[in-house]
Amino acid sequence: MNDREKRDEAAFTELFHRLPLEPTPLGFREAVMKRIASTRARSWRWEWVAALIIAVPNLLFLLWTFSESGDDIALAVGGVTNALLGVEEWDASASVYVDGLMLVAIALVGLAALLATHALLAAERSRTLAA
Amino acid sequence: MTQREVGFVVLGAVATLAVSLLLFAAIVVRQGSGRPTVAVGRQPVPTAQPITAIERRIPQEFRPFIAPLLPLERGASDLGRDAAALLLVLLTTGGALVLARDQVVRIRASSAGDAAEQLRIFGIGLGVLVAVASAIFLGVFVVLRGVIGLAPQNVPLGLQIALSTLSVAVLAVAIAALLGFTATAWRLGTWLFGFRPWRSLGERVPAGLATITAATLIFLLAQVPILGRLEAAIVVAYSLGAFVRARLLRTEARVA
Repeated sequence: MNDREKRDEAAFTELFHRLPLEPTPLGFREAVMKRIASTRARSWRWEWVAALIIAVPNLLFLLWTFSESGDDIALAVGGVTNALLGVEEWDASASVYVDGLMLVAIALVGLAALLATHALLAAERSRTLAA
Repeated sequence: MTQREVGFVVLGAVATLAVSLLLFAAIVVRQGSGRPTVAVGRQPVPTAQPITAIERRIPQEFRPFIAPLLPLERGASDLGRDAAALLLVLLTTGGALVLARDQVVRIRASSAGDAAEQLRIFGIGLGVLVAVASAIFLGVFVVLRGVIGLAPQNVPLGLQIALSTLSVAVLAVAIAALLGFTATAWRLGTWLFGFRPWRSLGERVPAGLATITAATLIFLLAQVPILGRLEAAIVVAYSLGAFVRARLLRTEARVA
């Protein structure tokens, strides 16, 4: 925080301290927080909808890919394991090829998972706020 | 949902529809083609087939719809392979923003200030980066000298342990840099969207989108020859500096 921001914060603090204290009616805070909590609980978070829309086609594509090319993937994993264990030697002719659309689909599924996690964490935060 | 959130959902749905069409085209084209999806090591890399040959394999009923999509599908596949590193950066940045939001917010708040302050943060990061690199180099030398002194049958195990320790140290630095990078991208994104020509639109852009946009820009700039390396080094140093500064400020506040 620089000097200007510190001065601004100090000025705001001083201003708020000058305001006369007016206690809210009994139960006011609880009523407001309950209303906020119920509103948030009822509304559909957009992250859920977006996550669902993004995840479904990409998951279907990945499922199809794994069912169609499962042997290739198993062969590739086996090759990496053999190279790690020294059973298979890789030289300059070794290569790594993964279908680009599969990579995009995996990234989009990851993005959808992040959106869903964000929605869950946000719901948790709003519940904590209301409690 | 607010109007803005509905807009995001509609935008996401349109983008997903486009991607779904390409995925569907890929499924129709590759069904029973025998072309491997993954090839690692000594497996032969599949070569690109002419589009006319692929068109002939498409069932007659799908051909009018799928054939025009084939060049796009091939382009998206090639682009996806080239952009894998960018997708990884975006996913990790998004992950840091969601899973370590408090830390990122703290780093962002503590790195506020004028140009001199930003230069100081960069200096801190540069110092930390050089110190970490020196420590790793010396550590590797000391550990290697110790491993050489072991019995010959224990040398491979010693080397594996040394490599694992080195990986853990690098991982710790990488996590710190990632948190700093996310805060930096957030700051840069909000700064970019705050420019006068598109300020009114930029104010409505959520922080996550601004962060991802800035992270993409940083990554793309890092691909420029020579200058890109320099930019990447500056960003890594600044990110580390922002992280370290936030940690130090928090310690000072606790002591006070």
